Amino acid sequence: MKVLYFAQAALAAGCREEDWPVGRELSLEDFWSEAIRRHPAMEGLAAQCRVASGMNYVAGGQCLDPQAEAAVIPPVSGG
Amino acid sequence: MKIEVTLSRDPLRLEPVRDPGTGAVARFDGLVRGTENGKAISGLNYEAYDSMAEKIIRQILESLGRTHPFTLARVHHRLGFVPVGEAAILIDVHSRHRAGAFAVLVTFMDRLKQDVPIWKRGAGVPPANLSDGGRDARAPLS
Repeated sequence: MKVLYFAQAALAAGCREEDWPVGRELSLEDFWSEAIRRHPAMEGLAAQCRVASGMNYVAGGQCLDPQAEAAVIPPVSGG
Repeated sequence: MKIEVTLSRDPLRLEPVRDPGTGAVARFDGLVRGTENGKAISGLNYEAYDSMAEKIIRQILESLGRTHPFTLARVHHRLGFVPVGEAAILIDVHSRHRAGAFAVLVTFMDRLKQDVPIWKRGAGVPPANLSDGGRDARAPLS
């Protein structure tokens, strides 16, 4: 699964993109556990960031499609 | 109902549009101020999850258009470095009547600031390891 990081999340991860070997759907909890395992600095961001899968925000109780692009979305500030 | 979305690294410009079905055009120009969080800046750096940002912008406008039909809505957002005084975003909404155009414009801006994956940071106060001048969000950090 391709995972994208933006803004503060990219700083915490130290990269903007990486591939995770995932063969099943991930819950949000699974996703954050793996993100924090890979990048401990992400722990402080988890509460304020949203996660997208296939360019849709993932709500609590939904899962991430391992075939779709995932992204960590910090609070937005466009305009 | 036509929707036009552009994310561009070049200065923004909205060309005039003539449509006999349009009775009102509401327009918003979002400009970069000279201060950010009380500190003087030379500009703002914008980055985006481009493909998702465009998708969400369209979803928001399509949703608003069901309540307040419009003939055309254009959203142009600039990415990369935007100097003070220049436009970070230009929006116009063309509608038969002013009430709908105003409603779509105001509500759209609120939704953009909640849901559209675009981020800014002030130039002159960059994060220590992300002084990249606002290049493409998918580019490597170093």
